[in-house]
Amino acid sequence: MAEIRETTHDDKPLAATGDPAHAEYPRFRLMARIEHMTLLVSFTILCLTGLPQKFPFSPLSQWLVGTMGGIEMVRMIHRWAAVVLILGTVYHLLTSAYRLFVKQEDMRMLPDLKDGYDLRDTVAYNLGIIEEPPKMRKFNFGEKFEYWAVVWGTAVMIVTGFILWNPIAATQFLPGNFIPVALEAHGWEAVLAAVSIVIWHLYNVLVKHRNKSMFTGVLSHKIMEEEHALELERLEEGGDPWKVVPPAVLARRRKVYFAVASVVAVLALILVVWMFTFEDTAIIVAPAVTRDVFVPLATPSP
Amino acid sequence: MLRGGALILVTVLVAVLFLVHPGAARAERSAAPPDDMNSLLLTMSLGAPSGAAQPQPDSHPTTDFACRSCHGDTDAEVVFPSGESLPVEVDLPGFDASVHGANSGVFIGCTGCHAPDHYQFPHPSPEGFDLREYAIAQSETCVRCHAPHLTAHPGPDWSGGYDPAASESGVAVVCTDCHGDHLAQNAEAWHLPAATSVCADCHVTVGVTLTDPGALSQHIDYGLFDQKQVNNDFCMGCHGPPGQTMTFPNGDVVSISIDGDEFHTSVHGLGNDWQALNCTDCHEDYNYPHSPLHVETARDYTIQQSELCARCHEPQHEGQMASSHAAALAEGNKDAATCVDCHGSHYIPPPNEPRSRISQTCRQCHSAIFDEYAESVHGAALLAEDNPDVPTCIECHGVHDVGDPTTALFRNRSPELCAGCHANEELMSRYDISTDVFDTYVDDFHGTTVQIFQSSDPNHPTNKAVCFDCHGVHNIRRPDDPNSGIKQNLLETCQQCHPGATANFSDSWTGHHRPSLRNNPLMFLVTIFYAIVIPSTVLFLGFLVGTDIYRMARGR
Repeated sequence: MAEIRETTHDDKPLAATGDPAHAEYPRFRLMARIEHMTLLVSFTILCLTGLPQKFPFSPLSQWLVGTMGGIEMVRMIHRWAAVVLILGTVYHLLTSAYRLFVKQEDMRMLPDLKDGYDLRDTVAYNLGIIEEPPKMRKFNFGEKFEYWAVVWGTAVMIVTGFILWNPIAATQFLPGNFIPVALEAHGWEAVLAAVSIVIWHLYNVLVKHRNKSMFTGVLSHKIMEEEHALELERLEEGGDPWKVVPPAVLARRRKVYFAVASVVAVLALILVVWMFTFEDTAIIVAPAVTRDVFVPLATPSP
Repeated sequence: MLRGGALILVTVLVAVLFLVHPGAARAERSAAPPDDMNSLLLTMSLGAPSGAAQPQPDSHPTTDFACRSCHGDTDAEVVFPSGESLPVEVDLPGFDASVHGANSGVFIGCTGCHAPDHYQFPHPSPEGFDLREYAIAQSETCVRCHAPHLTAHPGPDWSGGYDPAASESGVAVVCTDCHGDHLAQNAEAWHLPAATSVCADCHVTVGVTLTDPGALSQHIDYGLFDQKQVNNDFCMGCHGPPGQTMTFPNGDVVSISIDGDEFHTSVHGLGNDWQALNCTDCHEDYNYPHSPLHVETARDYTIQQSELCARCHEPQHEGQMASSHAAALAEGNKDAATCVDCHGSHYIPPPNEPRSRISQTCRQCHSAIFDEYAESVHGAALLAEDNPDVPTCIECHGVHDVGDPTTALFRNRSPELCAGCHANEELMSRYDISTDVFDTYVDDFHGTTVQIFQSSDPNHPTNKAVCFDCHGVHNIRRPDDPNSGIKQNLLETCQQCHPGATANFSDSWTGHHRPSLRNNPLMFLVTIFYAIVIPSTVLFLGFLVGTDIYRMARGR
């Protein structure tokens, strides 16, 4: 326990005393929660500013655009939110690298066969075919699905978004017709992400349970039992919530990591600034053509 | 003998003189009272014109020339059906010296009183008239200009007809009875004491006491030109003959001759659905002599007169008042078009017949723009074949409410303007033009922005391309026109707004094609991909959620 507190300040001790049904179990570290918060805010803003552009004919879209100050303002907000999302993505990659290379955690997000069985058993249990629900790990099949959906979606959105943001630069190494393709993909991918979030994520964390672990960092015994029974068993058997690495080893790996990560972070920041200021896609003001309109005929025409 | 011979010689000489100088005899004849000649001519005829034309003042209308050539010197007479006759000779020097004559400065030509339809030669016979009725009828022409006065004489107010029975003497008095016809005197002459002899003579003749001759002056001091009746013939008396001009205070000289025939073939003429307009419907100041105009220049007069069109054409006038022409005029630009600049004044043709007349009208002031338009696919079709489908100037710019085409509003609404025709299936099918152009534009980034988002705030300037940014404004060509169609140099077109664009960039435009395996297949496939993936995902996740709800519903 002491070990844990050393590395993470926000871990709450296991509810060793009292009723285990009211105990809470550590689930997300502070930085993961910040990461989630960043994604939540940027994703929401991106949807609110992006989907009206995908469905411009809807009165709701037009109301949203009007409320947010017009289409130019909406596009500016969309880009700032995109920058936040990209920075969040960079941060996620850096922390993932930290866990992979410094703490050398297992890659628990990778899907495997058990996820397939869990999916099958969950459906079977829900339909009443089997009597016992599957016992699932810290990250169950649904959460892995969401995670990889976000990874896929973010990748598509960043790539297509870059093309749309910098079409002139993009067409220096891509065929021109990739731009409308990027626009099409960007829009439909947004729809896919939005409906997935609404149907799956919001159902699971708001409807099925009021799951506040992404804000509090801890999860109740009830939800742990239902959704992460294997993890619950492991924690109750005294397992560490986070991987423990000897301080000496940790310090040595960290030195290397921070050297590399700071370079990568700076490069990523530069990349983002570069994206934002990459090109002047179009002239700001449509060219005004001045014409002599009053050019009377010397002799009237018939 | 000598005395007797001398007497014979003188007599012969006088006789010879008379023989070789027939004019002297005629002069003697014409000086004789008309009654002496009543029996000489039985039918109306005119004598041959005299060899030499009468001397004419410079300002004689040219039609008067024709009248004068016969009526100045003739022994012809008009014989009325009643048997009465009237010599047709006019004392031209006397007329020219009269108050209506060429020397008076207020010149009424022959046609001012004698209706033009009587000019044709030979003149129609005065059927149904006797001499007195003719005098009454002619006196009616006086009241075109003059208020009848001395209406104590029954008859000549023409309000209740001419009724001699109402007269104490049984004789009604018309204008010419006192004023004469061709030798009318001016007001000053009537102020002279001798003028009352006209009254006195008549009153003595008919035996009615002339109670107060001095009262006459009260009547001639005012209202002489207080017009009661107006008729185009009266105006045309002066304005009909060609070559008449007037000079404005600033020196502008304009023609004031009106071609009556051409007027009557124009929209306000005899063919007018409502009624043929009179001169005075537009020119209110018909008192003669005309009161001076309160304008400095001919242009000012045009602008002032254009206001009058609104009396009948109110909706058009309202539109015009909202136009940029009216705005320019209000700012002091007197070149700005008024009603008559486009429609004409006296000779107004139907403005859209032929259809090319519309654009030709605009050309009068906007010739440089017209020249561009004439080269365009629209203009060429209009001018060459009077095509009924292509836009003339007004289809895009409006008719009377011609707006400012440089505003953000015009720009933002312009795609719908083009779509008005180019999204019209029936219209476009005649020319084999795709009607997808508008929808594909709106599907595109530019079109979505302009059409959907700027529509909520149409006055917001946009830098997104609208139809005319790529296709041209007035010089619109076919896109595949080998000379200047946009397909030939699409990149150049893109670069107008995207200066950094390179070769591939222009392919980002879908060319108004809906994505298909043929046109932009990659985009088509992406659309198909998401058309499969999105419903599948929704179904899959929905299924999972559904089973979960089913579980909870069973209380597990």
